[in-house]
Amino acid sequence: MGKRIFSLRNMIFQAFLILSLSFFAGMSVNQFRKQKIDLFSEDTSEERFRIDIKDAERLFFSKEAVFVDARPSYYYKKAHIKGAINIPPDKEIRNIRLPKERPIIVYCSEEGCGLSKELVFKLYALGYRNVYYLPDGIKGWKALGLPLESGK
Amino acid sequence: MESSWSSFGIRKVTFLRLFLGAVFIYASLSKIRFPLDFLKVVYNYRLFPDTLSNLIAIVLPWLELFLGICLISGFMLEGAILLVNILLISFFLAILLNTIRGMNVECGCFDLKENPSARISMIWYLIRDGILVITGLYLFKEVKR
Repeated sequence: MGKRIFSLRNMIFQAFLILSLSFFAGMSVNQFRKQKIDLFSEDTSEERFRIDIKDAERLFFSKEAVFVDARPSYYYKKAHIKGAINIPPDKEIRNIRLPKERPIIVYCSEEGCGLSKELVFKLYALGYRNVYYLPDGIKGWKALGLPLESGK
Repeated sequence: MESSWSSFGIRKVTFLRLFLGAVFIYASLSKIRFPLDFLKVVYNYRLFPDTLSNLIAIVLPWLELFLGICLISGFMLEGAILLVNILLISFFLAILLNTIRGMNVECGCFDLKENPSARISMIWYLIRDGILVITGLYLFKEVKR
């Protein structure tokens, strides 16, 4: 019995050592590499996907970007950015074909809505590298008086 | 007869230990090589707050590498098997949770640069991880003897 307790303690001690070693190795290597991950930054992953509404507006009028509405179809039908396509959260995105050479701008309702970021990460995982999310959402777009449409 | 059975058991444990060790080392390499791609995968699971996701992306690949080395070399084997089981069960639960949530996310388990069209379904990820969980639990049972 005493041996068993000792063995369990040994096991936990070893696990702790391996964890510590991994922590120090990971943190040290991370400091010196080009693709550094900033531990306390909320934007390490998200910053490169965020697009300013002014840039989105420019890409809209130059017709360079594809706009994607990430909200459920009910909201999309009520109003969406002119020309945007709808990819609601329940839709299987593996079969969707979007142009990889054009910027894809994803939006949802407003700041902090989450659906746009979620879709951007899914698209990125599927190989789309030119994807962005519009943090202001359709609310910010509407506030600037930019073109909307409804139906479809 | 008994000794031949026990030697079969030892060989089986050694084989499973080497197999799991190789799987862990293989899984760690792509993550160490492409940290930002792995970070995207961690974010994509949508299970952790940002700082924790960053920490996971920094530490987990190295943890997998060291665990693989420990499993193969037999160094700190008991601790390694404990951690391997914790990790495999956590991965299984993470994939299961996202399957229940209906999110067909990239597993990010092995090759981060795999062809997107060649990606496989969440059910297959679950079966694959389930086999590894069973292997890990078997080793845990054996190492506790």
